[in-house]
Amino acid sequence: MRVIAQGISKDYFRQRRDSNVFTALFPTDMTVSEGEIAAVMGRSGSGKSTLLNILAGLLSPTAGKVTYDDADIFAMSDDERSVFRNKHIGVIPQVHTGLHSLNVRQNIMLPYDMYGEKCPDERIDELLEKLGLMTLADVYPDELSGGEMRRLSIARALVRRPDVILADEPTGDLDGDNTRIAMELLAQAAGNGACVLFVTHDDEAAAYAHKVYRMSQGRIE
Amino acid sequence: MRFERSLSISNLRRKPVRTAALVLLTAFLSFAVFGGSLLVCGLRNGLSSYRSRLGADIVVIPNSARSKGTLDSILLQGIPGYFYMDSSVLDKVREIEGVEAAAPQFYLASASAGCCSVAVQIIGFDPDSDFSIQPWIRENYSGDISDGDIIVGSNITVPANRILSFYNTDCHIAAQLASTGSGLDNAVYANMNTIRQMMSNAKELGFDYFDSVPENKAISSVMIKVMDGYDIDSVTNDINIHIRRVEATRSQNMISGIANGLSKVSSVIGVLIAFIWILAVGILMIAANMIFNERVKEFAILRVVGISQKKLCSLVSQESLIISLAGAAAGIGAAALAVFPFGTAIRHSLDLPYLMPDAVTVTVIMCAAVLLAVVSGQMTSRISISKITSQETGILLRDGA
Repeated sequence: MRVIAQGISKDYFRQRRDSNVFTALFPTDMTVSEGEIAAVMGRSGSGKSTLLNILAGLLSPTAGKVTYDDADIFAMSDDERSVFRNKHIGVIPQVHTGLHSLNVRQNIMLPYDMYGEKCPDERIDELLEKLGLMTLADVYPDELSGGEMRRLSIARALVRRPDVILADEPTGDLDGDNTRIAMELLAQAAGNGACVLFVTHDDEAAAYAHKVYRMSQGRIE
Repeated sequence: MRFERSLSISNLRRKPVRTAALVLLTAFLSFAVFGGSLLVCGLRNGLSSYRSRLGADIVVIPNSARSKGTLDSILLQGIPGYFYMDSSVLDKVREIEGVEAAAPQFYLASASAGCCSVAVQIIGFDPDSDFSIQPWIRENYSGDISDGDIIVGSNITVPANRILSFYNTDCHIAAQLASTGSGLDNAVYANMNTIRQMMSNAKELGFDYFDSVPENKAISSVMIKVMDGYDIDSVTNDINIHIRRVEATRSQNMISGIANGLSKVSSVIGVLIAFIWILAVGILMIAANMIFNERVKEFAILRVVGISQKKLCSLVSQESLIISLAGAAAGIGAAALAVFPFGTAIRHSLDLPYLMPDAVTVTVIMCAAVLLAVVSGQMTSRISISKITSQETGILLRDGA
C-alpha cells in the first residue's frame, strides 16, 4: 500500500501578536511506497507530529488530501476510517499509550479484540519475545517503565502486520539495544511489504531509513 | 458490543475508588427518588383509604363534640374520645329533603382501668341502617357480627383466647381488619347492641360520659348519604338550619385539612426529590467531566488503535449503565430498608394517614427510580464524551500527553 500526501497543510487558530492563525504545516507533498522506510527529522515544533497525525487520519488537514493507494482517508466516514486504521495502519504515538485497565498481553491484543477477532497467540508471543516483554505479559501498565511502555506501543502497532506503520519517536525512551531491536522490527515489516514512516531525533534510528525528510518551521527542506 | 462490555468492566474494576464514588452518587439519587416517591404514595394511599372508609356525604355530630374531641381526631389520630346526642336527631335528619340514608354511629372510649382490657376507641354501628362501616368490614370479614362480637383494627393485639373486655363486657374478636394507615387501625368495631351494653355497663361502673342524654338513647354521630340530584352543601345547610344543637359537616371538608396537610408534605417531598435529582445530576456531570478529562489519553489511544466514535460512546454508555444499575440497586435497597419497616413511625411523625403502597405500585416506583438513574447516567456520560469526541484525536493526543 502506498501513502500519498498531496498539498497537505495545517493551520491552528492561536492568539498571536500579528495573526490569529499559526501554520504548523505548510503545503506538503510526500509519497511513501510499499517496502520503503522514510524518516522525518527536525527540531521540536517543526511540524513532524502534525504531519504524521495527518497521514494517520488522526488530524484533518486544513488543505490537501491523503490517499492510501486510491482511498482518500479523509473522504471516509468516521466508522470507515476507524476500521481502515485498525486493519491497515499501525500507529506508534509519541505519548505512552498503555491502557491501564488491561495488562501488557491484553494491550497488545487490543487491535484484534476491538473488532471481535481472535489474535493468534504465536504472533503475540513472537512480539513479546522479540521486544523483551515476555516476563511482563501479565503486568499492568502502571508498573512499566517508559522504555517498556514504548515497546508495548510498538508491539501493539505491529501485531496485525499492518500495511502502513506510522511511528512518532518510536525509539524515544529506548536504550541502544532496544532501539536496534525496535528498528529491526520496523525494517522487517518493510521487508514484508509495509511502508514505514517515522519521526525521530535519533541518528541511529534514522540510519534504517531509505529516505530522510528534514523539517523546519512546518516545511520539508 | 462484547469488547465494549468487557473493557468497561475492566475499566471499572481497575479504578475501584472512582467506581465506588460514582455508584454512591447514583445510589443517593435513587434513594431520594425511590424513598420519596414511596412516601408520597403511602400518604396518598392513606388518605384514599381513609376517605373510602368514611363512606358518607355528610356527618352530623353534636355541637358539644368540639370540646370533647372532634370526629377526625377520633377516627384519624386514634385518640379515644366520645360525644353524644339524643337519638331523636336521627329521625329529624331523615325528614330533611335530599337525605337518602342516615345511620347512627356510637363512639365510646374504653378506660385504662381494670374493667377494660385495652384503652382504645370503640365504634358502634346499627347493622340495619349502616352503609359506611360494614361495606369495608366485608372486605376482610364475610361472617355475621353478632351481639358480643367485635372486629378489631390492625394495630390491636389479639389475645390467644380472642376475648377482649370493655367495661366488664366480654367480647369475642370475630376478625381483624387490614391496615388503613390511620387511627382507624387502633379502633374496635361492634354492633349497636354490643356497644349499648358497654355504654350501660360503663354508666353502672360510674363512668358518666353521657351528660343529660340517657345512655340507651345516646348516639354519637349520624352518617348521611345524599340522594342523587341533590346538592350536598344545600342538604348540609338545611340540617344546620333545622336541627338544633348539632353540626352537619360535609365529609370532604372533614378530610380537607388532612388533604391539605398531605398536599403540603407531598409538595415538599416532590421539591426535595427534584432538588436532589438536579443536585445529583449536576454532581454527576461535574464528576463525569473531571473523570473524562483525566481519561483523554485513554480515549485517544483507543481512537489510534481504531475505535470509532460510536464504539467509544458505546463503551462509555456501558460503563455508565453498570454504575447506574449498581447505584440504583444500592439506593433502592437502602430506601426500602429505611421506609418499609418504619411505616408506623412515619405516620406518627407526619401526623397523616400513611398506608404502604401495594406490590405493583412499589414495582412501578422501583422501575421509575432505576430508569431515572440510568437516564441521568447516560445523559451525563453522553454529554461529557461528546466533548471529547468532538475533538480530533491528534489534538487529544497532544493535550493528553
